[in-house]
Amino acid sequence: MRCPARLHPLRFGGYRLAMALAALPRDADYLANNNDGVLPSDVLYEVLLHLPVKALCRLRLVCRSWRSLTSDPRFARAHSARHPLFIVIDLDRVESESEIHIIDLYSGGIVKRISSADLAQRVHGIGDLYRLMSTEASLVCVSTTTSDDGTVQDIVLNPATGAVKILPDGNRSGLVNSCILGYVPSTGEYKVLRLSFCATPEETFEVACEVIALGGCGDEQRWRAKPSPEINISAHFRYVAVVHGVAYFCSFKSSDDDDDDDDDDTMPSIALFDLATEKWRPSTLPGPISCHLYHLDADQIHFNSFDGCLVISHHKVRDCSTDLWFLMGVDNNRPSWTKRYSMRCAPHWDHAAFYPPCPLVMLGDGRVVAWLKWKYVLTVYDPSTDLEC
Amino acid sequence: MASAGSGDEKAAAAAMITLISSDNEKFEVTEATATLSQTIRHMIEDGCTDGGVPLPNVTSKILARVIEYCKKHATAAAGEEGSSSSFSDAAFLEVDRAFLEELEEFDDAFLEVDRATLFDLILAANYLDIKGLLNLTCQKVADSVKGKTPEQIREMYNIVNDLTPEEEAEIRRETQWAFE
Repeated sequence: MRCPARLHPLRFGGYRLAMALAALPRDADYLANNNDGVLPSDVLYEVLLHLPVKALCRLRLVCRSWRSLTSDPRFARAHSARHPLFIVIDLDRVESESEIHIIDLYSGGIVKRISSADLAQRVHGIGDLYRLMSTEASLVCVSTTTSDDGTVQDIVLNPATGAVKILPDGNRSGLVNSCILGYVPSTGEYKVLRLSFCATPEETFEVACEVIALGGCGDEQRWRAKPSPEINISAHFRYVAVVHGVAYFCSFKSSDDDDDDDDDDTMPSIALFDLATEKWRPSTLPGPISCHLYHLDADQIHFNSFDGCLVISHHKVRDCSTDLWFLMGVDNNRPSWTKRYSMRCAPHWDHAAFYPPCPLVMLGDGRVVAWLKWKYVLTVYDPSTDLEC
Repeated sequence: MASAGSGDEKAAAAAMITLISSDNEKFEVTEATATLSQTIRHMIEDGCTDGGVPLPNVTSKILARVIEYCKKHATAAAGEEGSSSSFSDAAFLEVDRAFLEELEEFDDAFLEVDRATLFDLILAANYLDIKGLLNLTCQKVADSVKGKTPEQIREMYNIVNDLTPEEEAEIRRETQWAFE
């Protein structure tokens, strides 16, 4: 005789509560489950958590209880914490259209492919995929060409449903455009912040800054022009992250300043744009480290949003290691940074001078998945063993 | 002095826990082995392990397997800690890899059991809250399930399809891409 453990430590927490539950009278479930060959519901829950997302979706067809278990939001949260999805765009396809790939980082498998032809079928006017701009929650922002004249436009795509929205042109012009997609928790809205870098007659750059809310109607559907940031920022995806409705940008000294003290270590500061109020924060935050930002063979940094925190990863090429600094809070404009990871790189990472490991996501169990561009592999770093595996 | 020292060592070695299976069999294990189970760790912290820990949900057959797993993994964990201070980084990486490989081989052999035993191991790992064992066993079942069609799964596990054709069509519509 055995009694299935009707408890799940993660869900109930605490040994005493678990024992109290175990002591409850054995209910009808016990009889139903005590049949060899049938998966008891606790086992089923754990096993389904280990299935990659595509197999899981197919197996919702098995029976009602499998379907209802997989439809439970609590299960969905637990599953997505284990199987983070990552979106990449594959531009180097020979003799075929470029595709967006959604990758299950847990198994490394491609969950779904979306080609530009798929998009064009849904919405008229979409040509080739051009550049992946930004992802947030379940949405992705991509630049594409238009099918008629080949100019560039920005779209927002929901890869799960295939829904596509073409963003209006607005001030889209200039040499470099960057779209940053962000979720605003206070209003439940998704917004896109777009920065367009244009050359001025004086051979400097100016940045046009505009915001649009997704899902709005009428006036909401237009780009709203916002003031430019007062300092130099980079809008490269490496140097931008959105956390809790605030976009963090790495700020660089202008090249004029740099001439004077070329060899000094610089502490990059961080400019903040609040997507809720749609304003730049009046002051910047000091970063966690000093480094040679202009010496790419010495230091490289990367912005991420992990575990609800802004994370700056700092790859020290000479030490062959990467530190992950977490922004734990800001008090009176003084940030508290905590170094939660210091990833030693295996010896073969030496070659990575120009392609440092690019941390992508932190898994629910604290491991970090990084992309090694020069090897074209994903690697998982486990802080408990200090190893990549 | 010497005798006091060995007495201490004895006390450390004697930190043994008795686990009692549902069929009343007693198993003596070291604290290091037992505390791989969070459930037992909490009991030790609460000081309620005198006279043995009754595990009414686990049979002696399954408990013996669980202890085998915990012993192996507790040794591996202790080995890692011991080696980290005495080796250079490169050597440390080498040693670690050897550990991990050996552990992996052990895990593979450990999973060579019939389905009923595997499910019992999952239940025991869940009840005892042994994260590594739970992951290992669940992954094994998940791997055996993931390439199968819903029909094959129903056959494997004697599940009756209680979905109406309308419900089936709805599920297909909801996640059409998974069936492409």
